[in-house]
Amino acid sequence: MMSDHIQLEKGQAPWSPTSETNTVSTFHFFTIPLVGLIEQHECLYVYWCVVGHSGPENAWAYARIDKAEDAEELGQSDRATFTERLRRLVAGRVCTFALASDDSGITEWVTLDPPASFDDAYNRGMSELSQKIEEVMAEMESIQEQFGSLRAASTFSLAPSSVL
Amino acid sequence: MANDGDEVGTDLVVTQVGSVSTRIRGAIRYARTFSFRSGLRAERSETYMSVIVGRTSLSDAVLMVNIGDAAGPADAVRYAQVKDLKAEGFTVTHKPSRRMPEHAGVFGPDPWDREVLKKFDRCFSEYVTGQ
Repeated sequence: MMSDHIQLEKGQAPWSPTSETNTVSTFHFFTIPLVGLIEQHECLYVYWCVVGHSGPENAWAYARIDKAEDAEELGQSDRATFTERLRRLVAGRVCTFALASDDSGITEWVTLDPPASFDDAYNRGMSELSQKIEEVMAEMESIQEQFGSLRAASTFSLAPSSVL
Repeated sequence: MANDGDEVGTDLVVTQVGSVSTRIRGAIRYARTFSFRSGLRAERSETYMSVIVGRTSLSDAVLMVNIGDAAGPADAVRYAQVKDLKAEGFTVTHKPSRRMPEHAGVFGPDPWDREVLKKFDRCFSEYVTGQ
């Protein structure tokens, strides 16, 4: 299935976000892959660690690119050019922002509408994830209110009719 | 640039990048908790611990590891002598990349269990935090 949106699964490592993801290249590594190129269903996605590079909790971003050659120059970049090339490569593309931890893998994510950029992925991602969580909480409150009477009823015992 | 797999000299220091959280009550900073990777997860195909060859300042180390991010108060580095790592049974080899020629890997016994984790931590004696 062709899609601009990468598929992520809870619990997966951020650099291998589904069991069907293939690693194409790793461009930056520090104990774990931090920037790389992966393939899902014939679509290519660049991923990068946004914050928490050396920590147990981190945030990640994913952007679809058209062809592997577009990312090749990342592999040939030194420190002085790497970030700028990554910034250019992912500019204006659909971007998925995800939170992950060493213990739990990927935990939450949100898709950012284009134009998302290297520089705003973190702020937009955190803002939209907070909004998503607030919406879920509001929905839960609404369900609780809706079924309040049911909850009250559930405190009564049911007895077989033959006893009555 | 050193070749991939060459052993790092025992007279050298290596730098590991991590983080620190500081508890503050009023104007008093009263506790710091460091967080550095010490264990490898075989299930995630982690085979070695990354370090930077040389005694690298906090600001330089963060720029080397992080993408587009400068060092802040939550960042920290710690230093170990290669000879101490070797004495504890680790091997330190160069793993240079185009982006990070100073990159090296610390390889330990397999599995990298709790005992290995403690040995690895013991080798780091000096910690530096961000401002």
